[in-house]
Amino acid sequence: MRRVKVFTVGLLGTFALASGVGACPLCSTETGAQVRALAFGPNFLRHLSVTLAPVPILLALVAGTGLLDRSTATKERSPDAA
Amino acid sequence: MQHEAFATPRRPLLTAGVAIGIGLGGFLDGIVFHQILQLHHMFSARFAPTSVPHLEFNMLWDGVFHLFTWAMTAVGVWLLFDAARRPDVPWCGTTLLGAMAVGWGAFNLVEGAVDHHLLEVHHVVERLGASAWDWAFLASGALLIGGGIALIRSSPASALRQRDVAPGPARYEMR
Repeated sequence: MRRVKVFTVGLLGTFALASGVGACPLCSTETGAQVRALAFGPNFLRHLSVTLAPVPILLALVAGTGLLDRSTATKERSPDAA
Repeated sequence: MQHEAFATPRRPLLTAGVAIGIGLGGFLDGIVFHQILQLHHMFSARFAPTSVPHLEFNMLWDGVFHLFTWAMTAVGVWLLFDAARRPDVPWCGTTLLGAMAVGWGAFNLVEGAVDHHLLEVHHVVERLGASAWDWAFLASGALLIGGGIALIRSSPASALRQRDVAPGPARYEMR
C-alpha cells in the first residue's frame, strides 16, 4: 500500500513538473505559443507541401504498379476454349 | 464447364503489396531514424532541434509524415483484402513480399531524392549534413526494388495459370 502511495505521489509530481514545460502546440504557455507560431504561421502551407511532396509520386507508383506485371496485359486462350 | 487459360492476374496483389511496402517503409524510417536514433527530423536541416520550440515543430511535421504512412498502410490493407476476395488472383506470399520490398525501396528512393537531395529539408545524419549516408539511403532503395522485382519474377505465381473459371474456389496448376 505504501508503495502505491509513493508511486502515485511520484507520478503526480512528474505531471506537475512536466506541465511547467507546456510545449505542446495547443498549450497556452509561452513555449506553446512559440510552437504554434512556428507550426501554424504564414509558412504552414509551404511546410505542408514540402512534407507531402513525395506523396503524389508514391501514389502514382501504386497506381501504375500493374505495369510491372506484363503478363497481366496478355490474355491467352487455351486450345480447348470455345 | 468452360476452360479458359488466363495469364495470372497478379496486379491486385502487387498493388496492395507496393502500397503496404511504402507505408511500412515510411513507418520504419520514422520510428528508427526520427524517433529512436533521432538522427534527423522532417525539417531538421532548416530548424535545428536544439530548442524545445524547434523540437516540437519538427515533431509536429514528423507526425504529419506518419499520418501519410498510416494512410498508405491502411489503403494497402484494404487493397489486400479486396485482392483476397477475388478468386482469380493467385494468393502468393512471395509475390506479396516482393511487392512490399518494391514499395519499401520506392519509398527510400523517392523520399531520399525529394527530401534529402532536391529540397534538402533534412539529411540522414543531420549533424553531418549532406553525406554519403544520403546516397546509401538511395542505394538501399534501389537494392530493395531490384530484390523485390527478382522475388516477384521468381514467385510460384509467375508459373501459375488459372484453369477453372467456373464459380467457386479457383484452382491453379503449374504451366
